[in-house]
Amino acid sequence: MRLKNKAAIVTGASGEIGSAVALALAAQGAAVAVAYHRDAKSANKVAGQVKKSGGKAFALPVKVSDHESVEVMVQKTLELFGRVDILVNNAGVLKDRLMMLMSDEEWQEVLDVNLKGTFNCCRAVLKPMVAQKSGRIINVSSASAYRGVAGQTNYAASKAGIDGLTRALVQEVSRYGIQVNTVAPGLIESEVTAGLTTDYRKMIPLGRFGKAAEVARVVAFLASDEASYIQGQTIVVDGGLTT
Amino acid sequence: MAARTTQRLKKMIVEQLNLDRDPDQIPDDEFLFKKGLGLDSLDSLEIIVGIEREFNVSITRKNLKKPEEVFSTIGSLAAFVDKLASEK
Repeated sequence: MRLKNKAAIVTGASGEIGSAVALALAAQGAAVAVAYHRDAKSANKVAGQVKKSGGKAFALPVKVSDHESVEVMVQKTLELFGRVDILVNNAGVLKDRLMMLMSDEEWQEVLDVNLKGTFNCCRAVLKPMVAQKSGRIINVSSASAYRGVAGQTNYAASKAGIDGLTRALVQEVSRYGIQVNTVAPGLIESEVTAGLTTDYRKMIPLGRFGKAAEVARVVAFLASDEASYIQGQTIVVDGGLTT
Repeated sequence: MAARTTQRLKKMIVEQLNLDRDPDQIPDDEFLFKKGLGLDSLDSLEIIVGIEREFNVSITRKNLKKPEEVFSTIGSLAAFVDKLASEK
């Protein structure tokens, strides 16, 4: 139980990776705020699963691009758990389209959710983390920030932005015992990747898509004391796709 | 009220930031940064959470509109704290 007595917030926790992260943190003893946007049913299922195993969790709807909604999320977590030790910024959207055809809205929404959402959530936990002089922030980026994919200029820009944000934030908060790192998943088994027509497996040295649990384990590691000297790094979990 | 706030602030800053200074010897118009108390901008994060704890006030982006002015001297910071306390 490496995360006993810790309180965590996971955004986008109703999706494949987010729910796996919430469950992995809870399995290590963390109390978890399961933040979701649309899929209340899945989020409640994740929170229920945690509680059934004897852990603490609650699900709450959050719009990460809206700073007021994010502040409510952090306030609620502080009220129920008394602290915030871990923030996992996992919420994200895809609006793929070739740049020449991409609308302003498609560009903006992806930047608003993925990048501004990460900014909003990080900013909202800083005060409690500075006050307690400890904290772990794990941002979820993407292999797409390193290996260009046609149709993902918005997504790649937002995810590369998260990497930059991580490294700059480290310079602001390290002295307060706050560690900020990024996990960049590659192609992970999900509804989205199940619908892909191109056989991307040929591009992946390990020859398969990853599993959400394989990403979640890295996030749980970065949240634990085992990662006490890892700061401002991006750990790519992609089976070798970007090599 | 202002004199007492100033004194509490000096003591809090010296203690929280482990400064090698006697709080009673710090003038009210001492600058917080550079050649004054020698703090850097990142220390202001700790001062903010320290003020909230010490004075039971909330510092937000809405009430801290001009951080550079507020975090200029001990005196300017004390005036800001008094203003927040009076608005509670």
